Amino acid sequence: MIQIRNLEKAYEQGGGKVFVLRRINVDVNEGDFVSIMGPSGAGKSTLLHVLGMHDSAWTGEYTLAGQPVHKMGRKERMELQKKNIGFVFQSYHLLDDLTVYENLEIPLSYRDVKKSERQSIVADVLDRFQIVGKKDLYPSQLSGGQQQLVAVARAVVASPKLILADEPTGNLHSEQGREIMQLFRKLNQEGTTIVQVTHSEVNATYGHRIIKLRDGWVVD
Amino acid sequence: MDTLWQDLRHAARLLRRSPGFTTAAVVTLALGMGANTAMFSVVHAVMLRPLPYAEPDRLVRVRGGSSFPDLQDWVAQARSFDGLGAYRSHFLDLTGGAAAERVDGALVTGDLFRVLGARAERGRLLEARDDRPGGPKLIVLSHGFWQRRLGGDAGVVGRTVRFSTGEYEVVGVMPAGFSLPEVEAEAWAPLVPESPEEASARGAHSLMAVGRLRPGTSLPAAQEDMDAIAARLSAAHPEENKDRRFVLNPLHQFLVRDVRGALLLLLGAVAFVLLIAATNVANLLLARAAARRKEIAIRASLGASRARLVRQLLAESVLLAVVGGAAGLVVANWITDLVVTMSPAGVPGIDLVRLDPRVLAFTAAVSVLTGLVFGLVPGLHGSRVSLVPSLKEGGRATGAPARQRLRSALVVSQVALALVLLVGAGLLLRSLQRLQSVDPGFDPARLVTFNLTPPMARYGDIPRRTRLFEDVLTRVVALPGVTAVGATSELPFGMGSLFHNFVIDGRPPLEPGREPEIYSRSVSPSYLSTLGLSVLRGRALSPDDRAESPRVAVINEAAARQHFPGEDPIGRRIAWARAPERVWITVVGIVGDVRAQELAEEEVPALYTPMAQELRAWKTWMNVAVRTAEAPEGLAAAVRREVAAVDADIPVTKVRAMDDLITASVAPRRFNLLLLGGFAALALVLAGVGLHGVISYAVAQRTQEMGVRVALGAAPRDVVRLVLGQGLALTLGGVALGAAAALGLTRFLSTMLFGVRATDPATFIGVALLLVAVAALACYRPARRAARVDPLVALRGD
Repeated sequence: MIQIRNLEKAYEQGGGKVFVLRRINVDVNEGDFVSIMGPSGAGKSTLLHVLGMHDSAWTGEYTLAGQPVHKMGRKERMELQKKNIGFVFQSYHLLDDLTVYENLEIPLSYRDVKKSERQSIVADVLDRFQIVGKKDLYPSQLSGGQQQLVAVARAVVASPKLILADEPTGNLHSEQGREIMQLFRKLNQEGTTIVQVTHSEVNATYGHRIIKLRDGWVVD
Repeated sequence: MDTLWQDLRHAARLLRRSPGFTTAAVVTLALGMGANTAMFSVVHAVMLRPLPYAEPDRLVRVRGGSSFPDLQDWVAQARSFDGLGAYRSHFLDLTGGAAAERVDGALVTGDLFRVLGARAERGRLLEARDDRPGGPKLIVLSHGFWQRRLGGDAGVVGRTVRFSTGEYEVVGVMPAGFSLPEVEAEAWAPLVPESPEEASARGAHSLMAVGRLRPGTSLPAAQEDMDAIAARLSAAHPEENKDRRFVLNPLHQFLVRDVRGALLLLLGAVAFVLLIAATNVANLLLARAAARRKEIAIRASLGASRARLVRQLLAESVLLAVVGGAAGLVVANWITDLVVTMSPAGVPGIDLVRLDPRVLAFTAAVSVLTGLVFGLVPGLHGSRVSLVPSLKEGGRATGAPARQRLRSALVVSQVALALVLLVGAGLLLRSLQRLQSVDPGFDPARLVTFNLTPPMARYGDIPRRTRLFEDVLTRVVALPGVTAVGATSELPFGMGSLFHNFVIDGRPPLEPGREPEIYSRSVSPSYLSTLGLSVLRGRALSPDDRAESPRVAVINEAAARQHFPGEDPIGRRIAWARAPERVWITVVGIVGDVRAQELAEEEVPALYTPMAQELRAWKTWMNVAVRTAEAPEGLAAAVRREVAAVDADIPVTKVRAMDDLITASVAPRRFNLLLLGGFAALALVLAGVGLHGVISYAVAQRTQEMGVRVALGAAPRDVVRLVLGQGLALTLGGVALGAAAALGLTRFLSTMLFGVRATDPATFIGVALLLVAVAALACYRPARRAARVDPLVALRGD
């Protein structure tokens, strides 16, 4: 699913370079559930954003679903991202002014899915995540756990092959966190590849393997 | 399409959820859009709406007027027209009551209604056969006259109506709303020369002539046709028609010629106001885009393309503009009411100003366009977000220097636009001040004027008419509070006047048509003293200057300067060049000049002759000037009583205070000033609000910096100075840019200026200082806020 070779990312600072990621070589297979761990400032989130194509200022080779991202222009990358990737953020990042239904609908709308099709997909996801009763509520009317549930639902609504999750339980109390992690496990069992950044050893146990980062290097 | 609808729906919700922002933007846009809608509705009614005649594009007006012989020659010789008609205004005095009552009427050639393509509501129109000399007295009535005075009598056609000039048979009634170009009338009678002299007076261009071009005939072709006729007439009648050209103008263009420039100027001014308002909203949108960085980043991370993000932001700005446009209709309604109420007399079509479907379509189009244009820049900026910092947990909104620069640039342009408008308004204001300080040459205070026009039929005899006027003057001067009374054929600031060619005794004869011209006023002996005109040399006119005495005249200074340079005009003789016989008139005195039509116009050469020695039988009218000791309350009624006591069938009309006549003469200038001034004031407020917004935002962005400065020992006044400096730097940039633009643009105002140049330094400096003062005021609050920053709070917020 993902092959990364010699990936590096650095900032220019004071006439020199400060490396954030150094010579990263990582393979993630289809169906994997990988956890990226490491201390603060190790480059975990940076790596996740590179994988998610939010960040394009890096060198090296990155292949996603057989497509060489490093050779692609911005538009092609966006297309590849739209087709393959769903995101879950630590602080949910739901759109405050949209209802739950609309938050789920918006990724489909950005993928030019027809309205009738959107309605049926969203209805299906609402049902699957058992949040039909909340569809007309705004994010501010939901608890943190419910918001993250919607965020995960939103990440899967466009049926991505890969979910990238940046500390998905970081803002949740333990029970809510456990539910979200079980949901990830279920999605993974259904075939979705998952890469999560986490500080939590417990959460990491939901995955198959761990990639450890320190000072920008893969250390395991 | 459904995603566009989705964008609009989301936009509507976002705007609803930010009531402060939405209200500020909508009110701002409503002001700008309202001003534009109002001015467009005026321009539409006056300049764009087709004239209410059949195929109005084929109608042309012959500039400069026509005489009966010229009109006959045009009709006989012109090949470019389907028809040519002429008309002139004519009072009809309804008699039979306690006092006569005047009705505005018009005399029209028989073919005129056909030329205009008019249709009668009842009966028939006047026709070509109706305007023969000696023909029956026929009349066509307006719908209003028929309803009001004849009670809408169904059998009106064939009835007779009695006027002071005789009984007229009603042949038709025109539909409601019909009027001739330039002449308001309630009744139309056939136009026939009043005397054989008038029928043959080729130089008396008293008729307004309108032609209908043949289908397919262009204006240049018709002009060529008329030029050929003019050349023939010039050769055949050099005395009256030497080098005289008959210039054709499209009728509509002719009617709006006096207001076109001012309306286009005001339309330009409101476009500036809209630019300023929209710039304010663009600035608000930019600030909002900065606050929505995270939301935009989330959308992008969910797969929104840049185009889709721009579309989403544009949907919001267009929606704002449309709501602003709708709210602007309310503002437009106020402004149009104000414009219509304040507009000077004689603006064609001003009573047709409406917010009609075309105006609404204009508003809708401008709204959408404004939303698109002014949403585009914030949309492009707002949609360009760095995903990683925006999405990072606790990601702090860093001040985007490019965005701040853009906002500053927008404020600079606002200030520049406001300065241009303010300079324009300032120049008009100074012009009006200069104009109002012009000495009209006489004292207008406590001077009331009125008009008497006895009917030709009974007062064609000059001695009889003179007695009438003398009787009236004798009675009016005896009224309590009246200190002096005089009469004149042409009153200052009254109706237009006629020039006459004259010859000077002892000078070599001139080619016919080349004789000098002078403005002739027939006056009572007391007129000059009533106005307070002092005799500079010689003597004034006296009651002893009777019809049988030697003919005398007093000239004004302008005539003495122009026609008798280096000579003493006293004792010199002049005679009218076109009079059937040469009657010499001796100049006996020189009086000071008066402004005849407008304060802005220098007096032209003029000659005052005693009314007892009037030679022109057709000049039956007289204007009476009454000087009173106190404010002339109740004078009109007393005057009417006295006139009715002399002849109850002569109406007293146009009772006006001279001050009002002078005020009316500057009304178009005051109108332009009030509108441009109002729009400039609006621009000033909007620019001030814009500056306040940008500086407030910049202060909020720099809270931490201010905290550090205070922590390092900066005094509040240092912080205030820092913020004010930033605002004033932007203002001065705008002032410099605006001054350069104004130097280029104010020349379009030059025809509206008086006594002040379009580049008047005092106006430019004054306006710049005003803008700087407003800017300082706009920046003061954010500056004070910055000075009150608590360093602890500011630094803890980091």
